[in-house]
Amino acid sequence: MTQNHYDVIIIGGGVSGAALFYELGRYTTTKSICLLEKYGSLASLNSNGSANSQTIHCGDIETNYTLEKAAKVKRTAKMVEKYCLSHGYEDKVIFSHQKLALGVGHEEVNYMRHRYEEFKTLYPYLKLYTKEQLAEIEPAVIFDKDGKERPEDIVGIGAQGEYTTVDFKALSDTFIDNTLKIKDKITDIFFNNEVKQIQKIGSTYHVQTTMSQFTADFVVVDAGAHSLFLAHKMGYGLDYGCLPMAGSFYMGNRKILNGKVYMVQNPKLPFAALHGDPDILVSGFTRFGPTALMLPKLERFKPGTYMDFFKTLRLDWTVLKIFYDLFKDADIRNYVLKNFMFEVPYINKKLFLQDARKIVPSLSEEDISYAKGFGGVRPQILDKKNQKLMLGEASINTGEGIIFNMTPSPGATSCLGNAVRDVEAICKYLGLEFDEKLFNAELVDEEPTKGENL
Amino acid sequence: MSQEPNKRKRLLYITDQQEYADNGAIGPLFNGYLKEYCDVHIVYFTKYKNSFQAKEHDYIVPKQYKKEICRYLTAKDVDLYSFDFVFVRNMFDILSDVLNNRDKYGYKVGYRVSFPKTLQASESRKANNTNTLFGSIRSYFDIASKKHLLSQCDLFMPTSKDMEEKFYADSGVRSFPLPAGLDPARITPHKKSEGDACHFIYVGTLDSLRRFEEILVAFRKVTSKNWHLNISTFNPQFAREVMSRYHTIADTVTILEAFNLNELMKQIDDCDVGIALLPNIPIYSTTVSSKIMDYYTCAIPAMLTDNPKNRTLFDDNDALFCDFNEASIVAKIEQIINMSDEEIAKMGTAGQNKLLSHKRNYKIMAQKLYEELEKL
Repeated sequence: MTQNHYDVIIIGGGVSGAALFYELGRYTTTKSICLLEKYGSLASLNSNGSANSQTIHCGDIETNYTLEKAAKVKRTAKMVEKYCLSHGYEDKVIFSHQKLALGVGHEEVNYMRHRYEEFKTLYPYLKLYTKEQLAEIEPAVIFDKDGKERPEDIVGIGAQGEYTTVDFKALSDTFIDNTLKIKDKITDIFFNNEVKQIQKIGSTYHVQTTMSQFTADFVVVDAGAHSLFLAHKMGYGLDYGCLPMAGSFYMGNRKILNGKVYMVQNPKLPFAALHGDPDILVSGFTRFGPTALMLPKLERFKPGTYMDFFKTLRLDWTVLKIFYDLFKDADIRNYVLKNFMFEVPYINKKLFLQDARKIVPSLSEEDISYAKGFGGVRPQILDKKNQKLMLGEASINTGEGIIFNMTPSPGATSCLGNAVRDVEAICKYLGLEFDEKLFNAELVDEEPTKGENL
Repeated sequence: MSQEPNKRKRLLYITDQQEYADNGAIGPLFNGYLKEYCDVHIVYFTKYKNSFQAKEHDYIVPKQYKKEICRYLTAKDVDLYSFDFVFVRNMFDILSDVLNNRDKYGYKVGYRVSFPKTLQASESRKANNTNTLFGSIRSYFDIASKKHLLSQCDLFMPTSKDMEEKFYADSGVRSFPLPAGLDPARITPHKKSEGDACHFIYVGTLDSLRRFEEILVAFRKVTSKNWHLNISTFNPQFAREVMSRYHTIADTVTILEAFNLNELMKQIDDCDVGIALLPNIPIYSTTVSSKIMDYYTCAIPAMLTDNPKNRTLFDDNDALFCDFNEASIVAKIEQIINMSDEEIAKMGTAGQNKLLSHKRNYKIMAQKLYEELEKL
């Protein structure tokens, strides 16, 4: 058995952990950093391109965001873009597609027109596309299989020429590669090291993995749904439970859409409604999804983790009350039931098509097939104290030298923004220096767009 | 609540309208002239965004929190103790929550009905012969429970005294009718439409209760071709479906959609005559509809159903009355088409002046409302 001591140990080699690894190495006076990954490669779960839609969520077409939230998300999304462009990763890690959010029917159309007026100051490149313009740039959303225009009123808000798509696994690899190049620091990565236990003895954290034991002055857990599992083991975050939502996809047998097409989202749901995206892993073929199904396990397409789920759920009357309240809402109830049906063989494709035709009216069964092996798990947090399903990301900073992050969408987009938040906490706790000037120069947009200073 | 001398009073107005709404009294009165007298903060709802927003003086709340609005606003650092008045528009479930918290926060409660939607649904079922015994019983208890809530308010603001007496009689609450009015900042002189044809406009919802199709049937029977009808509605998709049944007049009908009040006023200003013909049923015959105010803001005369309520404000010198039946409407349209431009302009201008003199002027109404608030 080896024993290694580091200033900071990061648990989890997804894009969030990798981004933190990079920022600690590049912008702080940390002497030694270690990243522990459960599997044999980086980003093998939710950060993998097969598990997510590879979208940079910068807030422009996310219709459920307020302007304030959009401004925050934009700032962190721009960090990823700036990082990629400064390293020359265009068309290798970051890609440009046209993108649209569609409003269908008079109510949504009216909302989208107002939203466009409100958001165009923050996103000056945004355009409002009429039905006629949509027919030119994205004809599949307008015409049915007979070539007739769909009857509903429709508008699109979107853009062309912006960076929209990231291969988050490739991005994770670049973070690690660029950190490993730093000469004056110890930067270690250990694969196939599943963390079994974390203990604090004195001021030092002892991390026991399946392969070895490590110690550190500070630990950050970026392990998806397992972050909460490990937090609970240490007695933290007991007011939270984890509800893993699995998403599946359907793959088009060709390039059906020219770009990304999203719909107006139901704000009660913590994740994006069904959308269509060019899949950068499959020659730009259009991928539709994700669906949303509660699965009693914390990792998709991996054996085990059923018991971890039950431990992390912390099922009690409060959790049942949250479920009851969610199911009382007809929108959510119908959504859950429908998404369950999406996984039932023989009828799944037919039902999915009904939804997908809201985006592409001409879509037929022959056009798409269930994308086997695609999909991931989005850990949604149940806030037991307030008896609510939390929307978005959650972070437990204990103030005692350990942080647990759960970063469902838009966590990958926010990886550098979330990491700098943790970097600041680490530096403060360990008395290290953070080179904010260099960080801002390299990753932050110098001139905020009007509306960003909210 | 003790009040410091000379301190501006504060009103929280919780409206059922969605974020971005500017139609009705919300823009000119509550978000406009009333602010000359007191601080007004407006709560809107959103069915599309999932987070709270504070926009200058206003708050935008995700719709799912409406039933627990007081707790939600407090959690978002909106100081309900600081408000002298909390008014609710059209939503009894919110009124219930506001009343339940009145003693805690010490505000006075007002309730505003712009349109009695439950009663409309009930009337609509009657009109369509779809009323059931269960529906009638449910409607009875629903209305009774709303009246009970209303009786606990400090101020009731219906759109007219007639409406109050018809639907909310004996509530025992101090009442201050707040009808639709004209915004003096928006009034424009009459302008003749382009071309020779007489341009009509209908603004608003098209539904079975309003029996809008009777107007289309009438236009179809008009012998003259010297007319054009514009329909400006929130739901042009539905309007197109309706118009698909009237293809013989499709070329002379244009369906419009106004993105905001400015666009609507421009659409009205481009026309000669407004149509405000509604069936003579209590829900419409107890108030003067807001579309009439929109028309006279642009000094175009309105075609009105001949009923006592409309006659309280208008006469034959400033409005175009007719009964709500096909023959009368056809005859009136024919008559209007044959009127001179000067006659139409004169009527529109006379109506506009009359409404302003009847104090259907949001600037004056704001002052009167504030005086009423001072008495509470």
